[in-house]
Amino acid sequence: MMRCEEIVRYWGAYLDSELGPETQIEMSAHLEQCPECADRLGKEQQVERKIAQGLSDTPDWGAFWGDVERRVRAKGRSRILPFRWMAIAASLLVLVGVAFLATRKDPSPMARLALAHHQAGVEAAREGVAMDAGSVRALLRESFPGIDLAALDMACPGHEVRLQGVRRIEVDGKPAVLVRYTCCSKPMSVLLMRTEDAGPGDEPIGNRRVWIAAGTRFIACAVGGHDAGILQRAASAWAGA
Amino acid sequence: MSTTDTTAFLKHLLACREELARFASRMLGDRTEAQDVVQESVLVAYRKYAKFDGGNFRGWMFAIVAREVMRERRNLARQLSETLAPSEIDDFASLDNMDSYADVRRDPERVLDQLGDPLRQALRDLPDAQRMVFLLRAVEGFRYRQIAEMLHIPVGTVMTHLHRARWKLRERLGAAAGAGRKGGG
Repeated sequence: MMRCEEIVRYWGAYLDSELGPETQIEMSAHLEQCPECADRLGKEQQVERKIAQGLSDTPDWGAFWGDVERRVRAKGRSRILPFRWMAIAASLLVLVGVAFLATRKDPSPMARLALAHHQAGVEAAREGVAMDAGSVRALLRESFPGIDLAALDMACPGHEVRLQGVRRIEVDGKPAVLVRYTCCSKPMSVLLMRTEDAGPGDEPIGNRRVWIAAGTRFIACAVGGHDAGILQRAASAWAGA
Repeated sequence: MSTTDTTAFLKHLLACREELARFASRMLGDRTEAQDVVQESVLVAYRKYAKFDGGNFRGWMFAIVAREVMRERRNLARQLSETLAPSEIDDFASLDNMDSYADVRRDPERVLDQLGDPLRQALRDLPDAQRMVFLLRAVEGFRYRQIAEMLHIPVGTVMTHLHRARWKLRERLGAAAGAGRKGGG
């Protein structure tokens, strides 16, 4: 026969109906004969139910699900590009940012805009057509004549990179290119502008990771949930180039 | 993926998406972060949908969301695989000596109805691993074995995290009830 002290050990599994058949029988036998334990477990059951009820409300995410559905449908229609080309294209964009870190100017106003455009970029990428790496290069060359793309050909080893869309936008009336992609399944954006078109600034923003790289000719902001690993690896590659 | 498959995927998703949002929100606390994780999880699931075995879509989706949450919370995977010392398992008995928890246990319906905010705060204060296991079991209703498979940990570890989470929640709720009683005169 199970003792009262042993009931404590099994109460959780008992409440969850997860006891093995033998223990279940022993416990039920004890509870039939011990009103104190039966009452105590009954109360714990009520506490557990109330806690679950107190945490069961679901958040109202407004238009979020509609956006997700549209994005899924768009993904279903778009052609998935070969990994190698996407890896090269996305690495190119990341390295553009890293390449300018050495002469960092902390362009916070642009970073703020980049962050704002990151969410807008989700929409922009959804509407845009998935592009191949060649088209990305062409667009970057056209937008930023003289940009050194040869030094930026580095795949992101071991990571899945998917280009989702490229769009020309304006930031305060100045031309910029917004590129939306995922790396390691994390949504990321890169916003490119000419240095002379972006103002100086200070620190990155809040709890969102905004990677800022400023050079003599271009400024790049990368936004997304990615950790520092990819940019650090890319920076090392650049340093060794 | 064909239009039919996409529609089937979205239909499956519709049935459990509010629960996924709830789980991610309770795990991460921050709405934007939770939405990022859920959006990414949905896209990952959609890419892998062809490999879905047609079984429990809800469990499959929760496993993906849990994995994405683990990416956001770097120490979570390590916490999940930690085991408790056997001496800690029986801590529940100490609740018997806590006067304020005796109030909760005496009349859970009345006391807990007044403790909405302390309850959510107590949940937030749990270590991530305990919070995740507790939510999956107590709020989302998954079986121990399902949780173990989702999180790649042994069933025994699921039980110890759950036990500890329940103990801590009760301890906090007891303290909140006690504070409320004193505050109310």
